[in-house]
Amino acid sequence: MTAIEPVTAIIEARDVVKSFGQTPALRGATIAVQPGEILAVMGPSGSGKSTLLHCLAGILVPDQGEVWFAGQRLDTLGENRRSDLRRDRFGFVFQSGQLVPELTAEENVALPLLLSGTRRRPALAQARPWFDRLGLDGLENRRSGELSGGQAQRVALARGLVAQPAVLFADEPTGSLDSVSGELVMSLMTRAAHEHGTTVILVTHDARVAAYADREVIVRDGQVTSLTGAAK
Amino acid sequence: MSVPLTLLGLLEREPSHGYDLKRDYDTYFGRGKPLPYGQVYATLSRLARDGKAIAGPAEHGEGPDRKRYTITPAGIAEVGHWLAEPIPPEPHLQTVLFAKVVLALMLGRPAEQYLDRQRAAHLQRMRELTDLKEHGDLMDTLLADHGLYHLEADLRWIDHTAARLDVLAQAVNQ
Amino acid sequence: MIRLGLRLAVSGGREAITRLLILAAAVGLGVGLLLTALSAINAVNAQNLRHAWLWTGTVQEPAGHAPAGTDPLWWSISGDNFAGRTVVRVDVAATGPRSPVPPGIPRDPAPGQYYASPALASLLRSTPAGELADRYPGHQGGLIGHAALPSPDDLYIIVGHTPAQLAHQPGTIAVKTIATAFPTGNAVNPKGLPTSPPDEGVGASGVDLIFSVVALALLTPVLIFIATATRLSAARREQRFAAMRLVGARPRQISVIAAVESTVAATAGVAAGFGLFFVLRIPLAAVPFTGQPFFPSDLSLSLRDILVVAIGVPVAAAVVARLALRRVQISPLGVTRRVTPKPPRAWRIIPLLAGLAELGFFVVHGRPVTAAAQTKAYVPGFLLIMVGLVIAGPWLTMIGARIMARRTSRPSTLIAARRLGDDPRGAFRAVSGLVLALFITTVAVAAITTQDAKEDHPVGWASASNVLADDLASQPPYANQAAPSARSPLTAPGSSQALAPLLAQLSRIHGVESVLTVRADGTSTLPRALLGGSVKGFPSAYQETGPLPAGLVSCSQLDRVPGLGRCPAGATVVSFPKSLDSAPPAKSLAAITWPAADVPAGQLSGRGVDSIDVATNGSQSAVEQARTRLEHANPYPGFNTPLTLGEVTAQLTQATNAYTQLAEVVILASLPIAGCTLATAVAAGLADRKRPFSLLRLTGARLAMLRRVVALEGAVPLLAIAAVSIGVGFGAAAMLAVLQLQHPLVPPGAAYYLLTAAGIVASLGVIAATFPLLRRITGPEVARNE
Repeated sequence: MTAIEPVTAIIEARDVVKSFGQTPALRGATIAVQPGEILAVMGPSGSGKSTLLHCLAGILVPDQGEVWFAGQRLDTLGENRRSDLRRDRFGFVFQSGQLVPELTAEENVALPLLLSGTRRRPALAQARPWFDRLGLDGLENRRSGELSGGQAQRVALARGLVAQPAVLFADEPTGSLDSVSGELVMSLMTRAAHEHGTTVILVTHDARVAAYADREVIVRDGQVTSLTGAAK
Repeated sequence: MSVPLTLLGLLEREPSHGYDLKRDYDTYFGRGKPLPYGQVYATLSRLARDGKAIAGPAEHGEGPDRKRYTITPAGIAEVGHWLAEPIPPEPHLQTVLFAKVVLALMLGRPAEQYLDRQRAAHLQRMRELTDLKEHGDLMDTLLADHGLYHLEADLRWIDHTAARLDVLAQAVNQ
Repeated sequence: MIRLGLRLAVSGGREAITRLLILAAAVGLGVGLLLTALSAINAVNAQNLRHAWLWTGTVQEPAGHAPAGTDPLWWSISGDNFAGRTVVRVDVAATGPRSPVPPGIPRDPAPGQYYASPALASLLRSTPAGELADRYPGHQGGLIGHAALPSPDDLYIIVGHTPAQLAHQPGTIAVKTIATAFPTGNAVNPKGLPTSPPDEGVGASGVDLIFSVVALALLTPVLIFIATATRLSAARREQRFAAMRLVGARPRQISVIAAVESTVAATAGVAAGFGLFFVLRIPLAAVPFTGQPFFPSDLSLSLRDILVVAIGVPVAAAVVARLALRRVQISPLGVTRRVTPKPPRAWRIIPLLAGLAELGFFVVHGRPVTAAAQTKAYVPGFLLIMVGLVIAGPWLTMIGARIMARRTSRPSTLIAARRLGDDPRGAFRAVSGLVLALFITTVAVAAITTQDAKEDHPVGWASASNVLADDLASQPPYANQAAPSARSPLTAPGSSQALAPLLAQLSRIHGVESVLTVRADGTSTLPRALLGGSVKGFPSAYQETGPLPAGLVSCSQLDRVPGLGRCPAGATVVSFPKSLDSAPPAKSLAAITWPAADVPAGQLSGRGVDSIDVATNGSQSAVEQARTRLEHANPYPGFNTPLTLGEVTAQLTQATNAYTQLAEVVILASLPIAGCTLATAVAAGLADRKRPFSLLRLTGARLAMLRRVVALEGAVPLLAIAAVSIGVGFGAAAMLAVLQLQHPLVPPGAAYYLLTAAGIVASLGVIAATFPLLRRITGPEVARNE
């Protein structure tokens, strides 16, 4: 199988190099993600997979290489434009600590909308249906400290999806959860993604979580490889 | 446990007597259950018949035991194929995986690549089982979970082994 | 965005509300102090202005200032004394209906009438006439209003006369306007006579500077408190901001939210500060910062003051929050990799050394000449030292921590030393307020103690402090220019007839022990060495050298007043100082043996009287009655006010007390503020340590060990740096003493050591107060794996 440059990739990294001080985390990582696919990025801890995700999402700017999203260079954009992209086109579900404790659950879900200038009432109206969809009825006015781990992750998922993003980035989304809650979160995530055609980039070391994806790649020594030697 | 292929793999190292092959098999793979001589010679004969091995001229002296077998190119290809080809993921295939890894190390084959391909196959199977869970009924879900956990255990072993390949290679090739 | 910020500011749960409250309290404290200082400056200026009318006649009247047809007003101002308090007496005589009227009264007092200030009026009512009211001719016609009184406690009286009575009195001038401003330069009245009213007021610009310095000295601990309070829950807030950045908030939006939070706290603080000020205003007015209490209405704020503070402080808070965030750069990943920050470097000691060197330079090279130049020279030095202490603190903490770590093998000490070494800035921040407070306290107390020692009470007068000295011969001070009618008739030879009734009245007063009349002796003098030389550190105006003008005293009178000295054996008449209160002795008067004079005792009664010294038992009734009698014998009001030697001493030391009080306020206020800072920092530190400490406990470390760690972490920087700051304080005070007071440093008294020890013990107590908290927050449930 020859590797054909997928022109239709919605988000891709080309030869990305990123170091933290003396430690190189990525040494020429290349990956292309197709629209609508769910991709698992696996690898041992410290392999650089989270760093790759951060570079793809515009959270970090690579030292070398390029990051493309929807046909545009992402890594050359300024801090403000990248923030806007994260707010409007991307969604995030991280392992923990991502909800704002001072806001209620529905305000947390509506946060991306509030940040982009949507008025309070329409933003909350847009957020509310997600509570029902993700089995969070009645929790709209709870603070994050009053939610269980699984509930908090589903709230985070709702927040990640509320702005109908093109790409959802998930980094060990079930890492702090027990197996049943974790399964629930992954099931809901993939279903919602399929429904809306959202691309999902899922970083995990857990094979059962990776099994929810359509395909997987491995990050080893700062580079992306495929297990079968097929196109990445 | 594929005895013919294992014996063939052992044979690939060097032309050997049936006796030697049995001894090595018992050492590495027997685990307390030595291979009957009869099975050894029957297997070797069949392999010879299939063109994967050639029985050399009988040595002077004692009877059919002392025939020396040599692997043929076809046999080498067969071993290569077998090693490279991932096993259909099923539970309880540890012993086969184990054998493949050891042999790959002995033969200086790229064990890592084989492990990767096995990982991919496992993950594909896990995807299928996960899909089954999403769309199946309760019984399907339970069975799928069972399979998933076992597959995960396999993957864990693969990860663990992959991390120690160089040490294992040293031990095996002494 | 702002709404979001408001929401976040107020709904963060107990921890956030606590932080908001502490911040608001800190800001409130600062605002309260600032408002108090501003209003105090306003009060001093207002109070001062009300002195202006006392300078009537000395200010050059601008041409055409008086309305046409104004009748002149005869005006004479003098000072009296009652129970050690100054009474300002203004004798006026209106020449016509259109004479100028002093402020505070509806019209000029008619002859035989006087207006008294409310404080004086109540004294007139409550004291026997012979002690006070008899001094003033006539009856009270009304009260002097607020507009003429600098302070509610002032004793002022305006006495009305006929023009004929006042016109020929020496020192009386005719004025056409009442002064509304202070004279610039030396004040000279139309007769060419130098003059200043008995109650001059305080130099306004000097007090402005002092209040500004005091405000700064108090504000610094408050600012440190605010900075510490701002850092509360810093980690949690950083995490929350990181979460928002992840979701796509722009850095600018985060800045706005942080600014809103700060502004909310600051606004609440401003309101609290105004509240604090209004509550404190009335009790504060009664404190005599300038020697006299204020009218509460004087402690006012101009509209400009209010607007500047009410708008400026929240704006400043927003700006500071914005700047703080600019440095921090919240990334969406928050604080994921906690790298140990770089340790403080040795250069940090430089500003402190530079400040000390700056002061030292002046010690070696001599100080600048004018007061303004001195201020410009010392203030940067002191500022450098204070700033230098704060900058050098972390480095000193780190050095101390390293020494501690190297020389110990106990685990608690090791843990404490490593933590201090890892974050010396944080450890120092907690005690930085205290360090500055100790420095300021040390300097202030040492300077005051030295000042006090320098202006020691003239030792010699202590034995005769109840002697009322009435100097007749040196009056009036412009004697050479005045008509003979200006002098007291008692000074003329042959005045026994006039003297006898006075002596009889004096001896009838209950409490008067005896009377000494000092008779004229031409131009004879006494050697000044008799007094034991000049008094060290006495105000230079009194540092006269050269022989003392002398008179004669009969030994029979002197023997009855042993406190004023002795006669040699066999003498009947001795030479005695012509005027006691202008001859400060360096040793006790009682120990002086006056030299015998070669004049027979019988001759004394024919000579004029130079001065009369009345020995009393010190009771108010005796002193005031004697004073009243003596004033009655004056040729005209304002001729002279007799004072006891104790009162003279008190007047000379009055200036220091005002500054002492200010310094005490600074000390008393800055220590508790520093304590609040320490408490806040310790509480914040404890919250940071919940998890590691509870894990330590689980693995078998005993609570006592953890307590030792907390104690060491707090106490070591506290004690080490307190020692440094006290030492530096003494060094700076020593240099200041040599420079300004021309006196080597006098070690302060027990009160200072007690105060400092109390401050340090209280701080240690604050640290110890967290121990019960430690047990509770490191319980096993905290180490749950969440």
